[in-house]
Amino acid sequence: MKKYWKLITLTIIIMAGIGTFYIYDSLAADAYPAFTIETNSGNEEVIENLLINAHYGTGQNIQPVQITKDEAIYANERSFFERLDGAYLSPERKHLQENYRNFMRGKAIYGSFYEDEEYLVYANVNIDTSALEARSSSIEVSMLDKGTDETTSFVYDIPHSSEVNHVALQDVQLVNDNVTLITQNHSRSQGNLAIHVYEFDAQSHELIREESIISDQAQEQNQFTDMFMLNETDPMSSKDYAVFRNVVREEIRNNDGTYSHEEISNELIAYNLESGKIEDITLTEELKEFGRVNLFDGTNLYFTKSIENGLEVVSYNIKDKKIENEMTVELDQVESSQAPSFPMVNEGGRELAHLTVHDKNLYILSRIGNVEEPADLIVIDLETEETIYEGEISEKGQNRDSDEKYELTITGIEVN
Amino acid sequence: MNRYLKLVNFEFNRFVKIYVVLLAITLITQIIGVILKSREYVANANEAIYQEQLSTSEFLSQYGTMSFDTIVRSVWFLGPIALCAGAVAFYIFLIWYRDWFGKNTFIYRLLMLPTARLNVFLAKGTTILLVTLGFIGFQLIILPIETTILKWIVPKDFRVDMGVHEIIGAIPELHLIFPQSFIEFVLSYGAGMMVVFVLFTAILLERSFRWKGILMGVAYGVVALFIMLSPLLVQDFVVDGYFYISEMVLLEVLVGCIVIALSIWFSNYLLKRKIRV
Repeated sequence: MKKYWKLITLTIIIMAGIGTFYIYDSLAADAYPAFTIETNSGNEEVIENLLINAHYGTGQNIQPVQITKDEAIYANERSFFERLDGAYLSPERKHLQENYRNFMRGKAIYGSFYEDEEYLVYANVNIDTSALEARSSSIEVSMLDKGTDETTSFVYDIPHSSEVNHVALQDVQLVNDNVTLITQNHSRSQGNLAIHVYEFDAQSHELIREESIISDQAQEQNQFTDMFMLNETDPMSSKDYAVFRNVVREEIRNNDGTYSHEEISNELIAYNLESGKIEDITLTEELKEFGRVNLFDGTNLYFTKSIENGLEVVSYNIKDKKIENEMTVELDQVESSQAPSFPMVNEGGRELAHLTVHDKNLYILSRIGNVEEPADLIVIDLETEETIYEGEISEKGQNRDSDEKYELTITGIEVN
Repeated sequence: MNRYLKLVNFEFNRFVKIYVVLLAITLITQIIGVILKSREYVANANEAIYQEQLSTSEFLSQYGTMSFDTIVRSVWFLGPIALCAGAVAFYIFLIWYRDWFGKNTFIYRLLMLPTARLNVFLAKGTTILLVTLGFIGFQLIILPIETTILKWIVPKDFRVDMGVHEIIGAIPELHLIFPQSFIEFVLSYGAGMMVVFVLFTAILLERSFRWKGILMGVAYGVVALFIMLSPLLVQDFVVDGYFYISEMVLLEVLVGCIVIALSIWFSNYLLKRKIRV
């Protein structure tokens, strides 16, 4: 034994150093505060599937964290294999990877999905970047028939023309047994942005219709268009409308030689997927004063405005062209924070609260700047306009050393 | 087993003097670095607060707080790590060539030992692994000592304390040598040992066939690289993203084991039949 003492010492150093490092790792979970949703009143069932995405920490050491009703899971607490496939990042991806593991093979994460009772549809636009000059794009579609467990796929090559230079997929839907794709097409010539619809027969895979539904309205050289589809609360589900915001800006040369941009038009446009027609969204003067709407659930648009002690919320039904709800929600802390997020109430650059809609329930989460101030969570039944749940995000257990400069920043909420 | 352990002990004892010197250099240089960097920060703070009449909070908003990752990024800290890594890389070759080119060709005696020649090969590999892990373990043990020194020098209001995990978490470049989870640790050092075994095989090829052996060694390296890349090539060009990333990792582990097994088998053959003394 004696002649091995050097080797034994070395082994002890290895065990002590590396062993404690990785054992400590499993204990380190306790080092981060356990945030939970604490119920003050109401039915806890409505927050069963609520997920809050946030960041915790400052400076160099920021940890993404997901907060649910019972627990807060930090990204570094995920197992190595969980982190690899990234399914935990979104419940949607987790759902797809777990239930349709084989269908999901080779599906780009940035592709679009559509799911109903019978079908799961995946679409993606592939851009061939190997040729420098003429970039050719193709649309790839895969469809899973849940009943027969059969997958059919097809590829459509977008004909190369001077009109189409870059195609960005916005959404895929199944409308009347046709695969409908909504894309944002950029053309080579300056200032040419358009929203296109491609419709394929789900059986024959043939292109039935290709149409530009919204075209660029920039008139002058110095005008720029920004056109985008509003994100919905549940992008995978079937919906009646796709809603776009179309903004035209003008570049103005200031006296001091710098440039600034001025908005010359800003409108919301609804596309009826069933009829394939554009429907105008005409807003009352009062609604136009509201902050930018960013919340859309496939049927209704949600407008919000901050008032002295809370928020004013108006929902607008696109189909009936009328205001559905009009209510005020009392919130203690509607203040600015720097969390860049979508969708949320945004007013003059100030972000006020995170919103989402699920099953006719409106979820509102007041922002968090600091762990010491719990954020309020309110759920309102949109049919009765009554508050059915009140709670707060707060830290469970021991209080942190107040000297430590840490922050919880919420980036979004979703209900699945 | 006993023979193998004896050989490991023997190999490590041949390196132990240089090893202790390297550990001492690491400890001393890093502690000097901690003291200098901390003092520099405190001196800046003193100058700003007493001469430029800044308040503590003004100073902190201008210069920021002091934390250990500032020290880790300096050459005082990374220098010794690089030196140790370089020493291991060099010793992978020296552990074989010293037996041929040292005083009285020692390899002759090693190969004449009444034990399987493969044990010599495995003992050398084990020594490289133990030496490397020893550096890592030593670094992880001295880190808390170094952070304590920082706490002595810099007052509490001016610093943000970091644990060992936070320090390493803050510097992505260190993740390869200090992986964040135990599985990654095993994968990282498993891959390292695979490279060591491939290099050993190349060295033995050179020792068996001399000049021609160098070419054969390079060719063997290329073959090993190709085997390692094959799952990636299949994923990209044959099945078009069929495998999930977690499945790709398992495939890589599988082909890595194949490369290790191939290297050990090939080296065993070379040691038994082809080696020249």
